[in-house]
Amino acid sequence: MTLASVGILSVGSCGATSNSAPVDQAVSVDLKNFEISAPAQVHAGLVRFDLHGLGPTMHEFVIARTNRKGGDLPLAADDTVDDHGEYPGFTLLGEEEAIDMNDKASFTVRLTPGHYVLFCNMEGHYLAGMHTEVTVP
Amino acid sequence: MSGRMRRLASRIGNHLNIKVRLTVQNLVMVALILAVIFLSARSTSLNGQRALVDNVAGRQPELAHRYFKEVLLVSQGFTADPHGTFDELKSTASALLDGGAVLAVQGNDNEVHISPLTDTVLRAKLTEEIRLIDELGKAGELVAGDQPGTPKFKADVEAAEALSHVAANVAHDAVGALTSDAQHSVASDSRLQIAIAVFGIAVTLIAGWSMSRQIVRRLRTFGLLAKATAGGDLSVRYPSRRRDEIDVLGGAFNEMADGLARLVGQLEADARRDDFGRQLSEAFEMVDDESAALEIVTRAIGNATGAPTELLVTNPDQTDLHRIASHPTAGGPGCPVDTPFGCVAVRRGAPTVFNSSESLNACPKLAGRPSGPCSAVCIPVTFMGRASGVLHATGPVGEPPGVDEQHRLVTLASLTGARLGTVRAFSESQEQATTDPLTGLFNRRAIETKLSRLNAGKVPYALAMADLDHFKLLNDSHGHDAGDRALTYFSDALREACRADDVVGRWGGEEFVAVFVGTTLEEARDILERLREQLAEKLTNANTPRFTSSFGVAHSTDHLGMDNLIRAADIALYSAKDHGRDQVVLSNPPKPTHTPERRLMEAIATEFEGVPSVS
Repeated sequence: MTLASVGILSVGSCGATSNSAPVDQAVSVDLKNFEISAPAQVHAGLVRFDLHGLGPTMHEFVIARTNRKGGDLPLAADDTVDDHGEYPGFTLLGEEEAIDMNDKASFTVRLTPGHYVLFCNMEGHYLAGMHTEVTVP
Repeated sequence: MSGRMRRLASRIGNHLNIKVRLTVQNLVMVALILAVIFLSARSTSLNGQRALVDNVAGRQPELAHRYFKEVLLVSQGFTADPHGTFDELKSTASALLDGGAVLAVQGNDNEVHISPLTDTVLRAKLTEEIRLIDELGKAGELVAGDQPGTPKFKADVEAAEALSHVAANVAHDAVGALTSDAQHSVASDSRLQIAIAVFGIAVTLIAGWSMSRQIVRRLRTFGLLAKATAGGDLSVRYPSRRRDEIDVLGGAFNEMADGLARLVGQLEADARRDDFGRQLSEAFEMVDDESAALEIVTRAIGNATGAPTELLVTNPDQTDLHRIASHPTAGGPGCPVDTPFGCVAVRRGAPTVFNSSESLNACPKLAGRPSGPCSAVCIPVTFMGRASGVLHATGPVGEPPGVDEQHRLVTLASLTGARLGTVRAFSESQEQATTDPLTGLFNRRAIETKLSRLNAGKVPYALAMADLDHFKLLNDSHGHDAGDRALTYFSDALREACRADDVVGRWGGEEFVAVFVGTTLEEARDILERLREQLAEKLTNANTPRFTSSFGVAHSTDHLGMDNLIRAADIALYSAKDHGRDQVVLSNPPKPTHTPERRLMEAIATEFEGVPSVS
């Protein structure tokens, strides 16, 4: 499983890139208590997620490639998503932290066709439902 | 800055003296320092306040977790006070949002008073926290009402736990925001303090530099002015544009320079007056008669003043004043004063200035002048304390000759009085030394001097020796007074008979000499014959006994040397006496014995005539 996940990681060729590189698509994402608004589908390629903090609480943006449903991500002991563990079919692609109310940020990543989950991993936010699924056909 | 603003600023600046500017600068510094102190104190207070608030707010996440745990404990039959925890959680959140008093430290009665939030972001976070606290409370109530161990209990516990996490997170987020806000305020205050301090330092440096530059520049100007003044330029003045202390010093400098200029001007005027006096004195020393002295006075009047000026002086042996010198613009006689003590200035013994002849206290002799009303300066002329005249200068009404002119006129009057007095006294003394006091004719010494001059100039002349006939008898018979009258009558007749260039004198006793310059023996005889006739005619009505006179005449070309000539005339006179008196006898020319040696001897005798011989 571990090798498979590594292979997926290598085949996928995904990862955060510099925000200055020309992107194939810009996707607007709203982060508010306690939901993430994003399109359900995104094109493959270099995608820039334009993050808008609508508050009132500070949020973060995490993207993982997974075959799990948005609400079924592996949890740590403190009921946050376990982003340090290794789970088959779950690959953390990156995150953008500390997006407070009225803040804007962006996160660029190359996506290959597959299933992704966008979520906020602040304490209690994931369990409060702050996650959404994105498909890259 | 527009021109108008610049002019306004300049005008304001000109009215701010150094003391005011330094005071303003110091007050600004004090204000800035007070502002910094105030901000510092406020920051300290805010920090303290915020520390307490942070302490209070920092308990919220822990309270959220504790509430959930206490709900579980109660549901499991343990003793806990979830309601108390909930109340504290809720009341603290409400106080953080809208202000209020909360316990600073749990278990301690000390309260901290929290100000209501005004920041919209912070209010949104605390509002969300309160909402989640309410949700948590509801979830806790559900758990408390559930039967432990049931699926609903488990679901409600999970929900309550999730809410406790999110409530704790939101509380944590709010605390972070509050702390960050406080830190921003403190940082802002610190930046403001630094900015104020930097501004204050900059203002002080700039103002200090500007003021010191101004002061140094103006002091440098002072130095240059002082140097120029010390170098002799008394025209420099400090340009006062402001009214500050340095301008006060500048004003004092200008007053000093004005005083120095006046003093130097006075000294220069005194020097000019002294120079005028010196030149006049030197000019007077080079003349020894009155007419030459009066020529100098006339020129000096022209140098002393441009005003019409006249010198009125008494003639010798007279008491009336006459104009003897005047300025070319004086025109006709001016002052009608006729005696020295008829002049106001002479009576006062001091120069007198009259601004207007129309004034009540003006000299009466200024009134009614043909030239109209005038002003005047009258300066008495004295010699050895005795008034001898007045120097009188006029000008337009209200404009008498100026002070410098008056000083020069006073000098002129003084030196003129002294010189005229000296010249007249010398003339009188000289006249007394060469004049016979009874007849007024030249005395013997004077005659000999004049003969020597005629001989030195090789001027031909006829010399007559005259003698009153029987004078001793007349003296003895009629008295010495009659004798003196006879001598006077004869001398008058002899004087009248002679021409201006002739020399007439009393040789001694009743002997007289008449020198007829440029005449022959025969011409001299004719003159003397007429004299005899006129004398006889005059004596018919005179208060004196009748007398006659005898004459002996010799010519200078016939007898070389004065002694020879006089001897020859004497011999001719004796011949006239021998032949009956009352006649004119001409001297015979000596026989020609003119050998070259004799001519040489006679020439030597003529050359050394009058020189004492060396024994």
